[in-house]
Amino acid sequence: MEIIKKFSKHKWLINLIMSMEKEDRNNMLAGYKNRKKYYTSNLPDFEVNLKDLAKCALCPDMCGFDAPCLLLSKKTTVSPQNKARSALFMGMERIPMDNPSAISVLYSCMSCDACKHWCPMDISTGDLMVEMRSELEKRNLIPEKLHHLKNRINDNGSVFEKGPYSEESEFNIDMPNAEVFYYIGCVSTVDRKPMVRANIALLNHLKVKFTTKFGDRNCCGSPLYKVGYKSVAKDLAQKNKDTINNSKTKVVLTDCPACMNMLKSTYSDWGVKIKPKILHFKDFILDKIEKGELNPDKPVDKVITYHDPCIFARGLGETEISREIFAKIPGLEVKEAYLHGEETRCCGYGGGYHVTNKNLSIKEGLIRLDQLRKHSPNYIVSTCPTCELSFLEAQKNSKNDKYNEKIKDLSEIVAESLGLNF
Amino acid sequence: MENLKIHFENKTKIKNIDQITENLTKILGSERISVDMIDRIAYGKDYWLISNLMTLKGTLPCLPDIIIWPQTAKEVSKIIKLANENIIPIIPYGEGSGVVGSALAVNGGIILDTKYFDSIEINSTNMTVTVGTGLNGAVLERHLNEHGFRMGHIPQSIRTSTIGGYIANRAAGQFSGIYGKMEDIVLSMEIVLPTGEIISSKTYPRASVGPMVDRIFLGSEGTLGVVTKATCKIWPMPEKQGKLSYLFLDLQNCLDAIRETLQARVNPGVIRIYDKKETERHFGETIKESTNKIMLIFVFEGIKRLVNLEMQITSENCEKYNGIATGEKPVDHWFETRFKVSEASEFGPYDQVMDTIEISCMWDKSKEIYDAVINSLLSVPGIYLASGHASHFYSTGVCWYFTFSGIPKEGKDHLTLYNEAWDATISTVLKTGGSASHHHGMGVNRSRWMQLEHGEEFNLLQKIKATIDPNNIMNPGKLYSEEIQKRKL
Ligand SMILES: Cc1cc2nc3c(=O)[nH]c(=O)nc-3n(C[C@H](O)[C@H](O)[C@H](O)COP(=O)(O)OP(=O)(O)OC[C@H]3O[C@@H](n4cnc5c(N)ncnc54)[C@H](O)[C@@H]3O)c2cc1C
Ligand code: SF4
Ligand code: SF4
Repeated sequence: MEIIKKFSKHKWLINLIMSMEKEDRNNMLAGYKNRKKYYTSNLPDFEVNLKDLAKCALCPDMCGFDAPCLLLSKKTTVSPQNKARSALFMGMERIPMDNPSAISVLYSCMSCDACKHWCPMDISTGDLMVEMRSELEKRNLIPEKLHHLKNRINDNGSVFEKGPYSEESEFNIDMPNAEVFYYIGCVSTVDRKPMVRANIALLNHLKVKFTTKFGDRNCCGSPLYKVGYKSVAKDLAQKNKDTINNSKTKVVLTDCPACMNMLKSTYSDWGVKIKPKILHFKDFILDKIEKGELNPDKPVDKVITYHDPCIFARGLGETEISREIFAKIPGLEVKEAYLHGEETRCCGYGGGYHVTNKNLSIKEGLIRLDQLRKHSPNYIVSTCPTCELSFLEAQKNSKNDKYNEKIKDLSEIVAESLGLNF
Repeated sequence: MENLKIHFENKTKIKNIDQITENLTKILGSERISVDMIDRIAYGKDYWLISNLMTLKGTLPCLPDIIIWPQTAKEVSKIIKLANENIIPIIPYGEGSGVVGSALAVNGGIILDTKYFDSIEINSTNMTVTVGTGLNGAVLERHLNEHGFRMGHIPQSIRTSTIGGYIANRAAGQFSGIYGKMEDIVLSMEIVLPTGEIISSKTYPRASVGPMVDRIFLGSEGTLGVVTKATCKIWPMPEKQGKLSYLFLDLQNCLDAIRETLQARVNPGVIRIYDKKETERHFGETIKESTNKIMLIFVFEGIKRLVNLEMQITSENCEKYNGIATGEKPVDHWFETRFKVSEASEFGPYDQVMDTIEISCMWDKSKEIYDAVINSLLSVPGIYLASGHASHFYSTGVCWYFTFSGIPKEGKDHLTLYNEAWDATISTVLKTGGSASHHHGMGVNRSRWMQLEHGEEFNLLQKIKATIDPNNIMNPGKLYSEEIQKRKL
């Protein structure tokens, strides 16, 4: 019996089924066999995991206390559980797919995976919302305020009004026989130039031959994919694959967790294979330090607080590499925010939230900045250009002038300890 | 949304809803009020478990008319006055984790979300915290922990419920043995009455100044006003946490060991016993020797020397009653799984009827009531699982927590089976001298037993309600009315 196999781990349940009266047992088995009726959609070409949506919709919001979507908005409507409930109703045609309020519920999420972290069933409402949004794309229902993102990709390969990947850019570097493809993120190029310069200085210091191929570059597709433009993101994946694989490099280095995650996981889920190894700069730096090729020995006498980006801390469960690097830098004192590691909190910019829910996104950035300021650090450090951008914006919006910390990327700290000019 | 049905359909539509909305907007601004269907659907539910089946079938438990998010007691006061003028129900709403439908707008009306009331103020000399009642319990506990304190009120729903909800239901946390139930934790409150006055009770250690007025708001389930602020006891983080577990062959022995321990004034923070079925369910895979036995676990908290002594006395009592020591592993297993709530999600789509029912009784009825409830549940045709554990204990008695599950037999619908299981349990409990609820409250589901539970007190309660809330605007359809006593769900 299928049910026996499925529940072989739950001996108590098997014993219960075996001890039931025949009619009860038949009723239970019938309930089990017919369960899919509650999560099977009749909508054409509807591909969302409705089974997980149903599970989430029946949960009492066990992740609610840490879900920034709910904490910020104070609206049960956009709690993880209720987003799933709305989406289930949409998938089951109880709420029309084109209902604008229901659509805006699907966008009340910053893809931070706080829900998944606490979820007893390992469900990410954030991922389910991304799936729902791509159903909107199929039906031409993506809200108008997001259309410009797609248009810009078509115009200049990025989500910015003015394409950052120009051949004239200071970051357009193409060394002969390059081994490393430095895959610079859009946000890094535009808003986190000091970090990019530090990374370039590090590569030069290591005498690594690298290319950035700005002439052929495109966005990794993450911002597009997250807001629902899955088909556009898939086209970008193909373009990126060609650019990277044709470059004949051995390693792709990214400075952005979202780029890394796209190139490494999402592309491969879509069957798009990037040949070179894909690393984030922090992985590369630790490896070089451990091999003795990088020796950050100049004291950096600063107190820092590290902000774990959601993708590393929760998506990949990786929280130690940056801290190991900090431990090797003389003079540096790390003081943790109360919420750190896997219990980090979103910067407010994930999942297109800054475009879809601007005011709340700004509020989230301020909340996180405040948490990171607990020990009045000299530097707030991260490994994600978007988080760093959010904190830079939050500093501008903050009414509290008691603090004067700088926002830095880990690479900048390492470069400082190496005494590099950048 | 023609594809959604409504279970408690509101028959009395608000006539001048546009005008009401406009007036509310004047008080709240346009951002903190909604008549949008998507919000009304979201707030048309709580965690009354039968509504999970409704969700799957596309039925909304109810459909409130307006949702509002006030920020201050003054705003609440103005809103309540407006609601009185127009006789519109107001239902306070924390996080909707209540399991008996007490936050359901069964007569429509205004859902008043309390989540903006989220202030926290610690007084480390008096060891109190004054909080907004819309604050999530886990957010508060995390904040207190960060500053070296704890309130210690840890219901399983702590991650999805509010202080106001705890007060309104007299909630009980897993560590009630030390920190008490919500009524033991709250010292004073700010309340907006159903006629709009704002009252605050004084915070004192103890006093003798006439009746304690604010106590009637504990357990009032949103029917007597909106609690906007509360001052609660807090404690330092414990120096030691001690763990013990024992297996018993006989339930009475197990109960006696606990009773003697508590009556010796030893106070474990957590005491939980699981009957044989629940021991199999929760510990069968991890503690092999637990087969066909009753599991008892303890967690102690406090100063090391005191904890050691408490553990020693508890162990002696367990051994005296033939308990078999099983170490810390079962307790660790409980710690790991205590917030893993997934059964309703996993088994919900199998068309099952399931729920949990917690009741309380004095020690002298504790074994009798357990046996009687399990038998009465299993006598309901269609119910194939009935089990129990006990999770809160006092020097005077016990809280039993029963779980049932079943599928209706030919011809019957789910709600009928659900009600039969509840009827069987509560009537057995009341007949045996127990109380109908220990901490979940009465809500739409259990209010039909209010009169039987309270006896003559019930008339007085009705009078109090009529005096405080003459227009019956606060969460109508719950607790008091004659009609509820006969309610068909
Ligand atoms: C998985 C799970 C586990 C649970 N475990 C426990 C447990 O261990 N112990 C326990 O005691 N309960 C438990 N509960 C039940 C529930 O969490 C509690 O009843 C809780 O107190 C409800 O809080 P809430 O904020 O969600 O209230 P809601 O469900 O929003 O409201 C409940 C009632 O309180 C009223 N109310 C809410 N706020 C106010 C206010 N500020 N002023 C006046 N009235 C108000 C509402 O009108 C309503 O009548 C559990 C529930 C679930 C789903
Ligand atoms: S993500 Fe998990 S914990 Fe959060 S509401 Fe959904 S099922 Fe519940
Ligand atoms: S991913 Fe983050 S923002 Fe989105 S539902 Fe989960 S907790 Fe909320």
